[in-house]
Amino acid sequence: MTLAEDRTRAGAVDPLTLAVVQGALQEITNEMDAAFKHTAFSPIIAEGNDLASGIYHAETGEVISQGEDSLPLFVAVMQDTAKHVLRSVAGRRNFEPGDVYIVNYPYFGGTHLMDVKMVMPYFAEGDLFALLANTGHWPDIGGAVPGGFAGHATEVYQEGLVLPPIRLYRAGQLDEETLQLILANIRVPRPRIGDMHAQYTSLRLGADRLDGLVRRFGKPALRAAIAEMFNRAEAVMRSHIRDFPDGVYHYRDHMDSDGVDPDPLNIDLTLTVSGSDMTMDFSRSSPACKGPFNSGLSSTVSACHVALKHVFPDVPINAGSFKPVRIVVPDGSFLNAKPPRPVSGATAEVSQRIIDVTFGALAQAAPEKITAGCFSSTINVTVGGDDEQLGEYVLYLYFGGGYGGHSGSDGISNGCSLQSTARMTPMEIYEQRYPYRVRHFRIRENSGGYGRHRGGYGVDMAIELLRGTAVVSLLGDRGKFPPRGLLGGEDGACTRFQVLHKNGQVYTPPFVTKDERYPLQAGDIIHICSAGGAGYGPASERALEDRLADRLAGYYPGREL
Amino acid sequence: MELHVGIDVGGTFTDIAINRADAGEMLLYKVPSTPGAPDQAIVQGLAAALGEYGLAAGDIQRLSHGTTVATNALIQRRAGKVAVVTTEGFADLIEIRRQARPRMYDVHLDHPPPLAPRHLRFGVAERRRADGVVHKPLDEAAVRALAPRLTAEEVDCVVVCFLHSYAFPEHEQRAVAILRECLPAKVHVIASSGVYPAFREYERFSTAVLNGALMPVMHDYLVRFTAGVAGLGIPADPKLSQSVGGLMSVAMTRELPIRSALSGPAAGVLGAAYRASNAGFGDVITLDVGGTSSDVSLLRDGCPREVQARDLAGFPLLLPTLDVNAVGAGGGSIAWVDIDGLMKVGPRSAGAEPGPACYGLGGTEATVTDANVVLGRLPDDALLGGRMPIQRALAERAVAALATRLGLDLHETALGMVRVASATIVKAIGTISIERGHNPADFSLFAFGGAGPLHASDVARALDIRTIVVPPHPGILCAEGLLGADVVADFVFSTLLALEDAATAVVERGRGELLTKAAQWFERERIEPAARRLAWNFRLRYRRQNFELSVPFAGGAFDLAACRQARAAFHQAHERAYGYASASEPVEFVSLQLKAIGVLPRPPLARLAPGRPGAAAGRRRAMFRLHEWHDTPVYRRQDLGCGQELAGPAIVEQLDTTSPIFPGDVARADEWGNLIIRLA
Repeated sequence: MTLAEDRTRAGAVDPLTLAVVQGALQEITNEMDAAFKHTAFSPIIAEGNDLASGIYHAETGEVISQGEDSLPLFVAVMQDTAKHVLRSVAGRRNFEPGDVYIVNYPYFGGTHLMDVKMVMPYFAEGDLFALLANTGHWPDIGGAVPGGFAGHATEVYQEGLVLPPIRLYRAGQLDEETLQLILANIRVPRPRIGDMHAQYTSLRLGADRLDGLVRRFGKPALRAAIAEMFNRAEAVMRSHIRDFPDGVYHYRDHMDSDGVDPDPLNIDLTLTVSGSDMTMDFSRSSPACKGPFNSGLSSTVSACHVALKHVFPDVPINAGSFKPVRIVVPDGSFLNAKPPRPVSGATAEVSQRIIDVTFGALAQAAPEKITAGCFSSTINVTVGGDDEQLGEYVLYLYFGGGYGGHSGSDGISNGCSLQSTARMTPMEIYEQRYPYRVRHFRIRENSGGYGRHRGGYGVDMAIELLRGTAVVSLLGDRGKFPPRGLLGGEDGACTRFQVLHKNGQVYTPPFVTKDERYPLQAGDIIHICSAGGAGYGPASERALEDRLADRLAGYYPGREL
Repeated sequence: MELHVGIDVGGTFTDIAINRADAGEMLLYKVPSTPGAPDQAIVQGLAAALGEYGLAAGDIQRLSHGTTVATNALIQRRAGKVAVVTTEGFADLIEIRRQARPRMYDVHLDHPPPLAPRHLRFGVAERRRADGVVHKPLDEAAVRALAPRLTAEEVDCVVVCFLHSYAFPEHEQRAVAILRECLPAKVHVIASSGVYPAFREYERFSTAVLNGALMPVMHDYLVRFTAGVAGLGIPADPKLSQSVGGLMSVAMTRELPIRSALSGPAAGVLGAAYRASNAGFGDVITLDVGGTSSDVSLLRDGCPREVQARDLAGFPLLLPTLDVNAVGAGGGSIAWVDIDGLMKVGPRSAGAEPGPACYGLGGTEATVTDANVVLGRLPDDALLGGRMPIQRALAERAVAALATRLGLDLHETALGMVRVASATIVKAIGTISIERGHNPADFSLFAFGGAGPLHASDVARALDIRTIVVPPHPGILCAEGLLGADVVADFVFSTLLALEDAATAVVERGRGELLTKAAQWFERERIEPAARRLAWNFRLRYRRQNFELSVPFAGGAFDLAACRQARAAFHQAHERAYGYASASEPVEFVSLQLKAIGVLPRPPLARLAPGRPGAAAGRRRAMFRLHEWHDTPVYRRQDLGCGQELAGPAIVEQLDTTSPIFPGDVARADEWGNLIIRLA
């Protein structure tokens, strides 16, 4: 008999039970992440940490816990996925033990199509107690270009296979017909069976662990504890917002283009703090766009919460922490995509920029808590080919860049995307698996915006196709509008992408940061430079010893330091 | 009379365990550590211990030593000045790392700066491809031309790091030879493939740079240490402990100091393995609770588990190390109320100074030790056999202050503190068991360290573990572990390869290379042929998976039959770990690992005399469940006779720990002096 059990027999939830239950729920989702990663076949899941595991409320779908290795952006997205499955099942049929639904529908509870979710009802002693769900990035989901990042797509159908919530497992058995339908629509299908196994195994593990928790505490105590977790997270969030000065803060940034129209897209945020409430209004942002830079509402909302979590990192992550924040995104906005708008840039690019824009707005009230502008573009490069030795392949590259300088120090160099915890795949593995040679991979000099605290550096990488032919697609941003300095700091360097042909010709995509199926021959080189972070405070205030260190290291060749 | 000595240097104390090989008797000695020069405490402690027990230094035939010199040098950034010579175009690798931030949701916290700054990292023309093709030969003149610059910079060590050197080390080896020729003799020159030849360039380079930075530090220390030991007239060739669990010679430690970096916790695991197997427990979770942190690990069939990579002071380390997970919860951990109103315990600790409130040394914040005093689980007069006086009133005052903030009563708060600390430990055990495919309920809990036995019961209950084992000397198990350790060296052959029939030739070549390396090592370490053992392991996965599983290999020629057997064994291992296998899925070879072992005879352990069952030495009120007080008998550990059983509630006290037996549980002293607690 534990203390918690002692107490809950008396019908109350005390803070000690809560601490133990909250920790146990966190550990379960961590274990789900680990099982998924360790068995996944997709390198983007295993190395890129492009996955998430969570536990969701049985009636509302609200997130109760998400794994600490999970991609942060999924935190509010996945609760909409859970809601979507709940709604789609409601009135049609009942959940049965052993059911698992698969879904990647992007407009509600979705991101881009490559993020494939599985949702499993969890029954405790015969009752639906919670939903368990996870998501992982598949290297391909069909569609016009290998890898799914079709830079010029104008409809979701060009981006790949769309899966509304459908049952993939019944009574714990994989539905062979559904499986075959999926495999028949994607490239390099075979390893995806392994990913599905991995995803399913992770859900099963979560269910087993929840069984143990239910045995230990009983359902009523757990339900009460979860409700109390929500209450407390909301209270903490409110106390932080209350500490922020009341006011209306406005910030606007531009994305290069949507890949189809040459015009920039505006993300325009009016952030209002009033007492313990916050409103984030994106009404003045650009309307829905033709190209793949539309963002589903769940993805937009989630990006806002991830941004706030960076500013208030001690707020526990669950649905309660979302409640004090109202997010306004009108229908018709590119940040509230409707079918059949293309969306592949939503997760990879738009969400990061929403975070950067939120930082920009909050920095007006409290610059010491935020950073200067961040690189905010992962530059998704996908190369598809069929190699004589290695077979058909899809090579996916994504890049880190510079974070903005901040009140404490210089920005982080080659940091992962703001909404992720991704790691780059080692080059020795790339070269073993794909017919490419990395020519160089280094700090991009002169990329960090100078300042009292300079921005972090972007990276500079060149990779050469060794044999055969291939097509490269590009979906990035920050090619035209640099990360912006704060309090007089300089801007960071913009993203650059080029193909250096063997014959000496240099190709720059007309849309700078978007392209589709550009052909490569053996000996051609893809050259990528990611954006640098912006500076914080004027360059004239940079300490002498920091200048000398910059000069000695040669980070700014050609510049007088 | 032959003596075997184990010396474990901790942050506070240096523990010395002396085993008299004739009697199996274990003599223990503790002296305060001397962190500035750890060898001082060792030499003084050894001299004092020999004097106290009337033993002769000349009888010491074996001396094993666990050191934190490497770890401390890294944490305090007192490492040597390192330069890197690397493949042109890749000199920034150790600075740009692999994207992930040190802490999620933190845009401010950066990684520690690289140990070799940019102006000391030099690219030279050379390039091997993944398949070994020489794309660009090594520009030897360019390597030679670096020498004046490196000399002028007065670097302590030059680390050569080339791409794909894990499989094709020739360019690295040539560059090392050239630099050794051109640089002053005191400059260390090493190759990344010489430290640990596994693929993943950033991690391999980082590991090699860590090693290089530690070489001068370790060199100086070993000179002092060996001189001090020899000065006492000790004939034994000292051995040092490794983070993977075995021992290594002084010469090998000089070359590969990085292998000693996490050796402290590893020695504890070895001690646990030695004691637990001896008592007949093979599947064991070890729990070492100290003042500021707890270390947990898992033994299967008496064998510790290894991990292939981990973080060390903010740098990645690509080397096998024991799978020990540390969390910031220990006796001195401070309880606090978080922003959401929930109680948290640790990671902040009151340390040795001021220590828990009950020490009366000025601490006012409630620690786990204070909670245990309030609950009567710890004595309320003194700890450490009377050496550390305790003031119960101070413990109560500290816990009461926290209770007021939480709106709970004193004892609810104290019990809550102990359980929240235990929950942190439970979470850490989840990582090394459940996340690796093991169910903790199938294991026993082996509790040691000053506070391990105190918390074992709460931890075991939360994990459905039924049996707890408390060794005879929980406070010095690390030093004991050093006595029972073998001399080992790890070698690896790594390359990505489909594990199909066509692969046998490549793997067989790798096996041959490893055998040669092991044979050379046996010779160099002067290990008797009869004491030589080899343990082989494959690291395998399904093609396109990104994490491998270990599959044991019996050794012998790697032919078609062995290849098929390895595949089948992998499918089984995958099924066991994750609940499914895909027999039709291609299996990928990642590496073949060879552990060369020089077996040292285990020192005998003394049996407990079958004396008369001891009576309780006293009684005190103690709380195990909320608001249920028990008038609890307190036994002295040394009074317990072999086979004696104690029904809970009871408390067993000894110099280095306290073991509460909960109501309904039964403890028995086994013939080796272990306390075996069966949970109700």
